[in-house]
Amino acid sequence: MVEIRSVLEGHVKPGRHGLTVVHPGVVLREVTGRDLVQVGAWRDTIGSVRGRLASELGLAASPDLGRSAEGSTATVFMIGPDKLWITAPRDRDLFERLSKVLHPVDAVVTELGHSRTIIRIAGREARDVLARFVAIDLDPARFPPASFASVGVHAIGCLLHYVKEEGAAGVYDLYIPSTFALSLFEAIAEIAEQWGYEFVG
Amino acid sequence: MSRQSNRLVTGGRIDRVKQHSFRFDGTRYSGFAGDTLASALIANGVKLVGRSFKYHRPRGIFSAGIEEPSALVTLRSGGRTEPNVPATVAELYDGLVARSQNAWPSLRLDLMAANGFFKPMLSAGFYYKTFMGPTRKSWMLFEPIIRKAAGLGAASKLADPDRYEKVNLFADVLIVGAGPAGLAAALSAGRMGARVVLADQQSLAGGALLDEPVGSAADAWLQAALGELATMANVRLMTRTTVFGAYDGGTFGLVERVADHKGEPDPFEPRQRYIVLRAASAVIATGAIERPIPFANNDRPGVMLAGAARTYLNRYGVVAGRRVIMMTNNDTAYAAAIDLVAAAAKVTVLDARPSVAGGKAAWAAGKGVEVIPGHAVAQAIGYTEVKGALIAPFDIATGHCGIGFRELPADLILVCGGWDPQVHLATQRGGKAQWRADRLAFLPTGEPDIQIHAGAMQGTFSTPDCLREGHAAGIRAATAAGTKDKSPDLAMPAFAIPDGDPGAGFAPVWDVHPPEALGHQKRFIDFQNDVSASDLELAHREGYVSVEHLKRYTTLGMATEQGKLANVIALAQMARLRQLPIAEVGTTGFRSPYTSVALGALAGHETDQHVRPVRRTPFHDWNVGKRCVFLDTGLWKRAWFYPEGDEDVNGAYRRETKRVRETVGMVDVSTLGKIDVQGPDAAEFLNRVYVNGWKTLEIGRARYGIMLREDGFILDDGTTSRLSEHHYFLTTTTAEAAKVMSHLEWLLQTAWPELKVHVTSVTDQWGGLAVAGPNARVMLAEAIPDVDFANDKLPFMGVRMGSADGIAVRVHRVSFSGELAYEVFCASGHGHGLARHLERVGARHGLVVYGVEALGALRIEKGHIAGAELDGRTTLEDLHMERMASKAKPYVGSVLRQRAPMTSKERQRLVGLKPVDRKQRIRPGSVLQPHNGPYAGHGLGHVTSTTYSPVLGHSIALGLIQGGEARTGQIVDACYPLKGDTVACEVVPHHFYDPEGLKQNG
Repeated sequence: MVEIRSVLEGHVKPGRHGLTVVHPGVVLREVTGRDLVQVGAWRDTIGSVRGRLASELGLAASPDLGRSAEGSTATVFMIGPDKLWITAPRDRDLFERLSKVLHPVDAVVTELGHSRTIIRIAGREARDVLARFVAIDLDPARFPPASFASVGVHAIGCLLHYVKEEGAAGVYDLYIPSTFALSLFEAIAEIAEQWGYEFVG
Repeated sequence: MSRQSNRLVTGGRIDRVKQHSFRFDGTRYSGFAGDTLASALIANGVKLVGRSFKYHRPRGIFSAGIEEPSALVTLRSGGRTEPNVPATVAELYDGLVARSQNAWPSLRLDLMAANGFFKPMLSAGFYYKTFMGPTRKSWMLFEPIIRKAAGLGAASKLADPDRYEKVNLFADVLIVGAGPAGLAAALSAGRMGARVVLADQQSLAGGALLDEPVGSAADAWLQAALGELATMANVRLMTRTTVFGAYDGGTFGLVERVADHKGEPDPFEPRQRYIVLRAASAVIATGAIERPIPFANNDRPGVMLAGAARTYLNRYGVVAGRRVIMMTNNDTAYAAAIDLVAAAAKVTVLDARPSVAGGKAAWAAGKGVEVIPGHAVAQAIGYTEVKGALIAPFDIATGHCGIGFRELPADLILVCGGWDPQVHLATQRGGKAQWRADRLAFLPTGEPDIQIHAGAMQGTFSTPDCLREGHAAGIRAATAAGTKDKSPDLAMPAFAIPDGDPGAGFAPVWDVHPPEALGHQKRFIDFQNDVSASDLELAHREGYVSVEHLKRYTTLGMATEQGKLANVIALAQMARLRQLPIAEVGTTGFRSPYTSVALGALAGHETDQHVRPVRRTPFHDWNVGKRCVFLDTGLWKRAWFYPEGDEDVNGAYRRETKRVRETVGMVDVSTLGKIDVQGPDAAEFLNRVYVNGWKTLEIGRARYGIMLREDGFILDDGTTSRLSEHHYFLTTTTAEAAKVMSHLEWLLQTAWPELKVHVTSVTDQWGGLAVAGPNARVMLAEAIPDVDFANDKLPFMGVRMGSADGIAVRVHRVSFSGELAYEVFCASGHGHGLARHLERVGARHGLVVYGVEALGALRIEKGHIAGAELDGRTTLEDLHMERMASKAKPYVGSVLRQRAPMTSKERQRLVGLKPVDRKQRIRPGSVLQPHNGPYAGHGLGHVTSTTYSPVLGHSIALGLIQGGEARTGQIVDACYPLKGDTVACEVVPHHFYDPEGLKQNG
């Protein structure tokens, strides 16, 4: 398989950056090795498509707006009334599988795996970092784990996914359009400098 | 270092262990942590702090808060220089450096004070009267002098070295102001479990309670309240945070001064933070500001608000004067008088009210305060500092002093004319404040949107009443925010301050007209802008009857003053002059920001490289490695040219263009908009969107298309390829990509929801390289061996899938350059690898890498249209595209494009242009005029695109001209007035290169 070049490659050094502290407030890393596929159905087919996806991907619950649905390896985001994003490890041939499962009359499948760079923002100050960019209420009572939202980061449309809570700190994945990813990463990292951050390469 | 002669040995909320050294105008002084610059200057006996804006009159410290009009200083130096900082809010830190403003050559000896001799000239409307009409040209002469003499401070021209940031914050309840009402609201809302943000502009929470002596009952309540709030995880107390604006949807603008109390921010720390807070409910408890009373020379250093003197005494342990004259019209001033007497000052209160029996006056008299009813300060004595006052009997009905004035020695004159509720945040949401005669104040008429009002800002001036109102407001706010009461006990902490309602004691005093014998000294209303009572009288005589006009004519309430001290007095004087009640004169509206906000804070972290996001193509790093010079196109970094040696853009693009025509070139075309159009109705959708037909396009074929706006003008063009039965790949121009995407989405969601089509932007998914030139076929055949590039196997407008060095690619045979050309697309993560592979293979075929400048030259030679021609004003006919339009189907714009003006022969149509003198260059944007004139207006048309054509060996251009191709052979002049250029041009067909298309089709 041909290697995929990260847009961060050569631009970001792994290690500690910013304020020198014992425990950096923010941990940044790029989530690699995942594929992203969009499934677009229509109002008369979305119900059955959701069902088929739940079955194919082994989802515990049918995907719904605003909350991710987890399968054994896949995560599903219902990003609109008739559109879903599915992310899974790249070696699962997600695009091919779903293209076979879904008839184009019922739903179309679009490969987007290279279109987004996923930046994981974790650490005790993760929410504070995101609050500098994202105009949504990240209080876990309002935006609990598994929530996702379409957000504007520096005026660029991104998908924010609250992956999990880890030791009273949030772990968030930000799906950034790849052509903007380096620029937004630099902006995020610059903000994170005030708490000290670690980039895990 | 001078000793702090006015510092009391005990008292105040300062940290006497932490001594701070600071400099003011080069002189070294000392103060304590917890001081402001103002309190430290007073402690050191400094009274002269600045010079006034217009007359350069000596000014001192007038207040103790954000309302300070006179003691404006410049803090710090270099890029951190900040002018116009009120010394009253500048927190003292060790090493602080401050400079006075508006004085030359020095504060004490300011030669610009000579302006005072020209007072009659410099009255209201000076600029209008002096520099309009016949004398208007004199402005050019005097402008530099006036600009040098005028203005408030001077900003640095150096870059600000500090960081700023923007933050989004959310709350159930925002409470603005941590005074008595705000604290009480925070306690009740917090106990109910609401998520509370309590914001206060000061460094300490407490508001007016901070003015009470440490250890007093009020202080005990304050400490208890703060202690309880500190235990509430759901309450966030934000000091040094000003809520400066109230906006739609429960949105507020806040600025947090994170590091202004330090010499410079800590490493990586922002200096200020701009917060956009969205709240479900808001308690506005912004308090009130003490109001002065004008009297002659009321701006002398040593004249101060009574409440400010109490603040300096009880909060900072500083006694502002030992021999004090206080003038007031109400009972609230007496607390300061009593506290000053307790600090060993001698205090004489001139109460303008004829009788003060039974009020606070009697209580104060019992504490050693001398009270003289029915008197006022007629005039301050002293120049750079107060030496005394002329006091006189005062007729409260007329506002005039009577005969019998006498002189009293004093080093401090205090004044309290009542209180102005801070209604800014309420009125920012609509609705002007209304006059309440019983409070002598403008008050909000209601509670707009999510606001709940409490305390002094709505005319409640008694502390216990403020607490009660705040407590109730907190419960209302939390309830309105949907908070369910989690606390069984909402009772307030005990509060044991005996207090009446001082509001009942107010008497209207808006001006003190001195006795005739004292002459006409200025009585200032707006200290900051040097607007006096005589300016208002002049404006009145000149017919200014609207408060809004008066404000602008006199400059009253401009700059940081914004009506905080001057507004109500001016309105009252205007009412007197117009012989109307104040309520009928009305008040001005308040706009955000409430106090000054640094532009740096508003910009936040969107500065330097983050002014706007940068968009890089998948080949960016590869381009960097090729020494590419980039061109900013929108947010994109586009490859502009690739210099060899010391080539400039002209040398590089001509070489690149020539090589493409001769061998083969490769250009990054990833910035093209790319949209997947998928679904069973995709062909029908494209058929409705484009002017040409799409239902017959075969899989593996591409077609050039043009789409119109609804009004019939061209929106964009591009090629669309059919990849499978229900899958089309549509490209747009770089410039219009987002617009086209939203246009298509809009059509699907509103016009044709019945169509089963999805459009998805895949611009980020795919990177693209165009390979063009005579050697393109042979090069790509080697690079992508599983695609048959033979002309009959991959004809012009054919599309094939293949693999280049293991990278899956799509090959589209399209040409923008007019050459044999292909666009090769791959998944963007493979872009770098693909470019390197093609570069390696291309080296054997004479490959040149070219940029967008050469791309432009190639397409102009070919006569292809681009953004300059697709400027939103051109039609199909204008660009000779009308034959593309189908007559067999409707499409977006098909009706309106047929309007007569759209198809008129008189419209400007696309032509080519060649300079008659081949050595001359045609400038883009030139206006096309008849040869040798007459030149008139917009002329016959304009030049849209120009380049040097290596093929032809001279400059060429495309242009839009009336009559279009009918002018072929005519000579016109391309005029560029900005440079004085006129170039005679021959009108020619717009295809300069291979008009038959033999190259691209071969």
